[in-house]
Amino acid sequence: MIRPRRTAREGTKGSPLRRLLGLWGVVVALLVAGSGLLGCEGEAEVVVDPALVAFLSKARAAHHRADLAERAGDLEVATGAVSAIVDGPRPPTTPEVVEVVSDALARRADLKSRRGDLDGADADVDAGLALAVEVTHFRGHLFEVRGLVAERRAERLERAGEPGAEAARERAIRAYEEAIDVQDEVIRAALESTAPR
Amino acid sequence: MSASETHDEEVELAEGAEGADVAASDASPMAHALRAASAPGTLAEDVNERLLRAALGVSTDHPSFEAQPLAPAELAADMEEQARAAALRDRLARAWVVDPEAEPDDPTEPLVEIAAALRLAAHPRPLDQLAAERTLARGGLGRRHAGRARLAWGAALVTAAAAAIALFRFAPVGHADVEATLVPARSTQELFDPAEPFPREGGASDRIDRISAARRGDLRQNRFARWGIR
Repeated sequence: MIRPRRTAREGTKGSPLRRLLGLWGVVVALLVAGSGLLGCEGEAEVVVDPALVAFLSKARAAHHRADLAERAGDLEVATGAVSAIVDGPRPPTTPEVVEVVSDALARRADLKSRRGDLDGADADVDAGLALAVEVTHFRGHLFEVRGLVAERRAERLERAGEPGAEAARERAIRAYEEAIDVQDEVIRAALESTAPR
Repeated sequence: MSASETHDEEVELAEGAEGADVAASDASPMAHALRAASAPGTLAEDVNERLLRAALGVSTDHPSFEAQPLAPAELAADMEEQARAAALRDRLARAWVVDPEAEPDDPTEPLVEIAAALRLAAHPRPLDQLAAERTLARGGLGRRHAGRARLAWGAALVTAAAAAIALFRFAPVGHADVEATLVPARSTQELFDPAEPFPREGGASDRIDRISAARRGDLRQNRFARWGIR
């Protein structure tokens, strides 16, 4: 019952198991490398995802909270509620995010101007216009709010007997005209997209 | 019966009686052997001992089987043999397999191997028992192979995981199809009538209500698409 024994070196060197393990290693490396390379192929299109919908839900709640505060006459609370949309965390930038934030900036500008913070209101409008650069009703609405703020500034100056009311009124007129121009472009784009080809 | 047949029968009876007389006389070795074969008697103890020793090559130069006292050397050899036999008997009472941890110069172990071989030759065990013992021996003695086996299983698991990752990421047709059906993020302008601008004051809550409801629907559609539901 005496059998010749292989040494440890003889037992593993070049054995089928060792060769099989080596082959496995090569296959694994190739698969991982290949999947990594494919994963680097271009950026996928941004789709509607839970983060975006969560942000929209938060914006909806904030606007309704601001509605309640407005009805209660508490413009400060209403402004704070809308500020949660503008200053809070946002998902990756998409057209929806841009439009919702710019709309919130427009509303906050309106609230600020009603509270007498006309400069703050103008700053919010400028920020919104810098964000919503596409020709949409959101951009047109920001021009409308700019005109609204200018109107309020003119009234305030007029009531106070201070100079600059007329200039403010002219600024409001220009803003409304810009709003009309944007809305015309929106209508034109809509008509072009629905025209038969 | 004729007269000649009667004569033949008488001749046979007379020859049988003559043979019986010869056998009874102990004079013929053939008759002695035949009688011993048909009705063997009991050997005397000393004769049996000498027969065995003659068969085993001891005292083969002795001219006959006559009883004679054993020499002291022969007695010593017997005692040694008996001791070895007792040791073998005790050893076999424990196990019929060679002890791999036994001393190399242990005289009993080679005998154990021979005894086990003779026993298996006379009464072979069923195959399933042999297979079970082989499996147990492999599990007990193959610990050095356990590391390799674990390594092999680990490699197989890694391979399977990598294949799953690659399958998910490659997804040559199905994944691309699903991505193509997902609703992209886009302007919400389509949700509003282009001919109706937003009111100058108010309306923000109504707009966000509409946007939020539309994108929730889009998200549901994307989830269904990823689940394979169209």
